[in-house]
Amino acid sequence: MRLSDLKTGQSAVIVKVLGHGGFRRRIMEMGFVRGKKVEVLQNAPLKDPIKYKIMNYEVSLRRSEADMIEVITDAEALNDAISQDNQYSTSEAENIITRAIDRSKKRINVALVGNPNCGKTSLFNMASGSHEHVGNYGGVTVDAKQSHMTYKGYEIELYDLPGTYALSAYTPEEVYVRRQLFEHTPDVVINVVTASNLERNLYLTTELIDINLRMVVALNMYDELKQDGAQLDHKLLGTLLGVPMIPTVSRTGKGIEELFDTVIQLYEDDSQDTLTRHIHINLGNSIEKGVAALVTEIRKDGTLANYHPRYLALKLLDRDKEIERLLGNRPDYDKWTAIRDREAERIERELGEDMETAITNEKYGFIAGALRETYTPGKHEKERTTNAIDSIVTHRIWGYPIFLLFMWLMFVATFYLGAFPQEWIESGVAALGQWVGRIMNEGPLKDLIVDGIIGGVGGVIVFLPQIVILYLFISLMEDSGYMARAAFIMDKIMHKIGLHGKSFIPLIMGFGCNVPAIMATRTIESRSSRIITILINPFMSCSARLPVFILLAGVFFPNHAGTVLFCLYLLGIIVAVFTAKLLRRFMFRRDDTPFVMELPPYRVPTSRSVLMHMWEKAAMYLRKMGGLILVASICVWFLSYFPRHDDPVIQQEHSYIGQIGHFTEPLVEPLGLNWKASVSLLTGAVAKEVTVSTLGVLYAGSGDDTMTDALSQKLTEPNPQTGEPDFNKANALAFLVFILLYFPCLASLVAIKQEAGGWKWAAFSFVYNTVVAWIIAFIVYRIALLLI
Amino acid sequence: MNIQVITVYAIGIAAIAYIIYRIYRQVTGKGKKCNCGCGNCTECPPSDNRCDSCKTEKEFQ
Repeated sequence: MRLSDLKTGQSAVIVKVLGHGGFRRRIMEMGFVRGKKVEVLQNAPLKDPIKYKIMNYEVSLRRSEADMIEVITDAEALNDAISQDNQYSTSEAENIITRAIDRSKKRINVALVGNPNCGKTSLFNMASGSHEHVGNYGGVTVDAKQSHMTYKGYEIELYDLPGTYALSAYTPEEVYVRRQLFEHTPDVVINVVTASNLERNLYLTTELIDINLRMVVALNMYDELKQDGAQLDHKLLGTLLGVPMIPTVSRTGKGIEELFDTVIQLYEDDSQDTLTRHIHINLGNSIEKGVAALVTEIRKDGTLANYHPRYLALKLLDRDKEIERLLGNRPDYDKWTAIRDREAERIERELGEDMETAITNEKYGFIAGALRETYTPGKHEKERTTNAIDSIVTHRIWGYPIFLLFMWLMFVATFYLGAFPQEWIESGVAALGQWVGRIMNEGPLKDLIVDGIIGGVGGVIVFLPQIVILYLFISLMEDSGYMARAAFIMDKIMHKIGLHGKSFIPLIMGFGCNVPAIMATRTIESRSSRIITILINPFMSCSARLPVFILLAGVFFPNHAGTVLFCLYLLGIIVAVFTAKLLRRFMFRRDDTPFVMELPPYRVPTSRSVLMHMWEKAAMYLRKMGGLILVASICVWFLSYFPRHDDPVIQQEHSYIGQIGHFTEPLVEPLGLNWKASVSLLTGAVAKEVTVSTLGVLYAGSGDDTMTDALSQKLTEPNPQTGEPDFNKANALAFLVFILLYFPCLASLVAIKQEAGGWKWAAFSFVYNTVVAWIIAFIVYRIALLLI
Repeated sequence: MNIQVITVYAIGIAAIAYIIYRIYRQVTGKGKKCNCGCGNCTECPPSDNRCDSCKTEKEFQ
């Protein structure tokens, strides 16, 4: 815990002093060093400052300063000792605190900071063995991800922060990263830099230098720099910037050990080289004079322990809103702003440009100078290759058909490649059903296992191969860099519907699962754009709907199943575009925010990343089968089994679920659907896969031949009551369209409520999507009846 | 009623109660271990700091 968390009368032992530079030195000189006992004597009336007793003298610290000192209480130490050793004895009591401190001092908080798509998450995964999602485009990480690793006896807490180009207050990511750095005060920062794109990446490095953190630069993707024939004297560059630089290749793990050796050296302050030091990037006489005037005044305040005065001065000059808010309640704030206004006016007059441009230009000037001394450009072969491919795939005319072709190929391959393992699993499920049917005595328990569990879960699990194959293609497109191009060519369309490229990433994520996709809209600054993106997200067909599509498309359109899948996804996109346009027209005023989509170079996806992505999705799918789908299948079976009726043909009709189905049937009757379809649509509210498991249960228990046929065959068998199959091509199409567009699952509705700020948006989504789904499904059904 | 019917009834009612509980948990946000919103979380261990299902970072409630 932090010293500021202690209450009056409590005591604790100091573990470490966070922060850096002058503040840390001053605090330690006052006696706040590791192992010393400190007691809270009194909190001032307004809880600031706090009076402490240390080394038998009394000292008062401001709450902000006490917040930078990590301490451990006796109770914490005891718990720690018990959890670590499991063999704690009272005779060792005196050693408990010492041992707890020893353990604490070996805990290092490390934050990964860098530009979008510089490979932070790859490095994070490689170092810590995590499985975070990575992609060759920016914006994949929207929150801080945390992982734990043990290295050379040190416990390292690794934080992967969202990618950012700078630490100003322009975008939510920038504000978020900055808050993480100031409020969580990592012991060491790893600044991940793309080695082949140094000039732009080092701008963020200069911002981090201004903050004065203990930092090491990971020159990531160093192999690309070498392959390109470029040369970099990274030691000299590190000396010029005062920061150690370690070449790394996070995809293969090269350089990671050296990187963490340096992290430990920095943490222990025992760096052998002389290059690690805090430098001031010279911004020219004019700006430096203004910075110096402000720094002198800010230093007098002394309460801003975790902010370097030079950084505050620069941000004040830059009129940074967040920093202005932070400093607004300081007694001398008016004096500072008066100096700032005077100095900013002088600088702008002298340099003939606004402050923001002046500071940015000076920093880029410094970077260019440092690179002139240390960097020799290569042949730019990769750039030429990337440009050559881009000239085709982002062509203003050919770009769109190429994108559609890729999408079509993806769905066709998903369907046809997945059909083989699907057959094997289907045979396995059928064999299991028959075997259980043979060994168990007749009765409701056997029916529950065979029709309810095997029929329900087995009906969904057979689509595992298609899910895995779809994610193989999505992984390849993401990791290669093509997805960023897709966003680029879509940007024009997005602008036309009043959104921008930044909305495209959550929409693409929606093809996986709508819940994290809706949450990813947090990075969109404009509220209206965010709400529109949230509301159109459920039209992006999530992978949970894929089993329904594959089942019905495979049964009724076996020769064109891939094309049907492709058309369904395309229809979802078209309805989303149409909805966005409507919302923009009638509910939200247009407010364009400029956004530049970065186009990363093409990279060959690594098998590790692709396999990991596929495994993650397969494991998640299987977990869902063993959890929610299993329970939902039992529910549906139970409701379809009771109350019992003497006639097995009309048993389901008279069951609880049959009564519910008949109640809702009139709503779907115009779409050519019966009560079984209406029940499966209802149960899809829990999770869309449950639609298939419901059909599995209802059709498994509907005839005499339990589990001898797969669900796909049962759907084409005649209904004993009508003599006709329940599904045909026309109503199957209507059912597919309805599933694609109707109300989102409950988890998505809750996510909409949370992110859009109220149930009214969730209710809107529920009603609007269902009405749109019904109208389009009705039109499709009527047209299909005429044509098929 | 024989033992099989009682067993099946118990399993069925438990399954329905579980589904109702999940819906209640999702809608009200009560009893959840994290507020990621996905509703599929089984646990959100502090060491991991993420929802184990949708992988979104949670905030403990």
